[in-house]
Amino acid sequence: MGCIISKNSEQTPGYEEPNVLAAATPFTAGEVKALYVLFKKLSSSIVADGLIHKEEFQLALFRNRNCRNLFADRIFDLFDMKGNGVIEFGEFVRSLGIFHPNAPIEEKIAFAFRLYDLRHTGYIEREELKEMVLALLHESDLELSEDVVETIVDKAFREADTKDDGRIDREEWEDFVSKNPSLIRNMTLPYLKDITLAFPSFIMSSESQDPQV
Amino acid sequence: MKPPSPPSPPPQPPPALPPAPASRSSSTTTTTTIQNKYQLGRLLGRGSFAKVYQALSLADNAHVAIKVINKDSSALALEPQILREIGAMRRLQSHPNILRIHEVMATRTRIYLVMELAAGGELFSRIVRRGRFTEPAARRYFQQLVSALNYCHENGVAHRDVKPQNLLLDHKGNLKVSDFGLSALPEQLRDGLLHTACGTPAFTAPEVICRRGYEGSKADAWSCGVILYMLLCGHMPFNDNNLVTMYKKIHKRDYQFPEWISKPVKHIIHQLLDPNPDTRMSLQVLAGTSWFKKSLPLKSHNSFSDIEHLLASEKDCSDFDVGPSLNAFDIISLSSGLDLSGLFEIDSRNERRFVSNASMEVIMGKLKEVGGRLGYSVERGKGSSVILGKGKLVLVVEVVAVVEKAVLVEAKVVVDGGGEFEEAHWGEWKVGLEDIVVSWHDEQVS
Repeated sequence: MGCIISKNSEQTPGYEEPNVLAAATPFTAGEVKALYVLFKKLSSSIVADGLIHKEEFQLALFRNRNCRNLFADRIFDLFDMKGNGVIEFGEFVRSLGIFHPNAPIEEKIAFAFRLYDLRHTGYIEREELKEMVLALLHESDLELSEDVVETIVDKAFREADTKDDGRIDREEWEDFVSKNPSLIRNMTLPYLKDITLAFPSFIMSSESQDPQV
Repeated sequence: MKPPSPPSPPPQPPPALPPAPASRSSSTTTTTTIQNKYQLGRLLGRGSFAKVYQALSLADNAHVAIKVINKDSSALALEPQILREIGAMRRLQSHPNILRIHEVMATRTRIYLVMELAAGGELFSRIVRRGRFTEPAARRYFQQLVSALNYCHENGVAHRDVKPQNLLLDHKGNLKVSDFGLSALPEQLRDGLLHTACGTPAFTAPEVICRRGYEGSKADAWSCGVILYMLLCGHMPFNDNNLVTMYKKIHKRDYQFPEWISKPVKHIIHQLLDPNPDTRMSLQVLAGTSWFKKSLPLKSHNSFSDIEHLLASEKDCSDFDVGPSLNAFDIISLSSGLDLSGLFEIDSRNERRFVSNASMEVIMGKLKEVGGRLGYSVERGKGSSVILGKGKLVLVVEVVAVVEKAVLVEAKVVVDGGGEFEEAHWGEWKVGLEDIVVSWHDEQVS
């Protein structure tokens, strides 16, 4: 009885069929449906328009809609693949797919690289790294002298910038991460493995074909 | 993900074949694959609204159990209970004696709960075979049962339906408590799984039968008394074909002990079968008795070891040892903006961070001192971390040296036992740690 109603409500902008998304990500169709339950919650926390706005994203991450954070901004921008200022359902699932424990590590490494390449130059530059370190220190209310910050940045560049040209390219980044796997630990969310258990209410409206039992 | 093909391939029916009629008997040899992930095997049990099958996970060749619920009208009415059961099992995942749930799936007409397979079957079929258990063997099962139930209660879940059919064994003979949330089902559906217990209330605490308001953990304690009796005696303490007679016996604690039952056990059973829930022995008190503690394996009863297990699995991709100096990318990866876990915990994220300029040793010492003063048990965790426990609460504090003279301390509520850890608790900690804190992270409101 609820089928027709649920069909209609699923025609939000950017909605894509679970099977399509499942084929493009590590998720199963069922997991995509569970993610849709989560997406509906997130995308209606402030404006119920089926799209995640930046304020809604910040609200979910920080319990505060106005909490700005350089890194959260970067994540939001990368999730917003079309660059239209909102995260649509398809973008949400495809992006979270990278964070799945079973996603290929190359995708995680590449995502982290794009994340830290603040100005989209194709390189992580010294200035960008310094800006990010300062942002983290500010976020944590840590005050360090200019010298200490320079030392921290220098040290990272000595290790990562093996070609010694003052910037970290894709290849150097891949080498650096393979030596320091902890650098991409944020790129894996264990939660995604039991997403169907976390948001099980999709089971009632599921329309999938029955196998023979 | 493409699952690898099964080892001994029973040929899949070609896709052109029309689907066979549903709910045919499982005696046919054709295989059924659910959502390309699980191949259904033999039927393990059936009830009025669900069937349980053994199944093979095609991704890793692991054996699992799948509970198949038909989405007919009665199941639709059960939606809240089914969702509650899933939620309860998920919260209790990390206890070794609680049957794990792996995932849920659904089609137009069916719901599938994919669970751990208890290959050893029901505990009580062993009683039926062997008559009864020796005291040490009974104690071992009983310790595992009580450990599991205590863990449930610490996490705000009472089982409320502890009975022989729900006590399963894995292939190593370890107890697995199953069927959570089903206890909340309407009476007529309660025995929906496996074989029914002829509807006897023999395992149900008297206050539950009377439908008075009751405390779930005390009701579970009563059921434990019945189970312990059965393990040792081989039969039920109260059993009468006439229900009224049986209720009377329950209320008068009218049962007999065979002569081989030892005195401490008699005492424990007597206190567990107290018809008055207010004076009945609680499982926590039980767990402190010397009879119970005898030959208890040191680790398995301790919820901290489970927490550590949980922490270890949460961090399985980060075997890094937090050294005294992190590189710049490690430092920025600490940003809360990069921690997307908040997206999944819409209702409950409970953690605080502060920065300190004291040394690691001083901070660790201070955490122990303040924790002890506030009544927490203090244990050393993995790496530079401390695990603090108090009642139902478990708090994990991690200390990370960012650079010299700047240490980031992160405190996280791992088990909150029902949202009780609130501002007041953080307040106590803030006062206690005053001397070593430079600033609390959450106070930076932008």
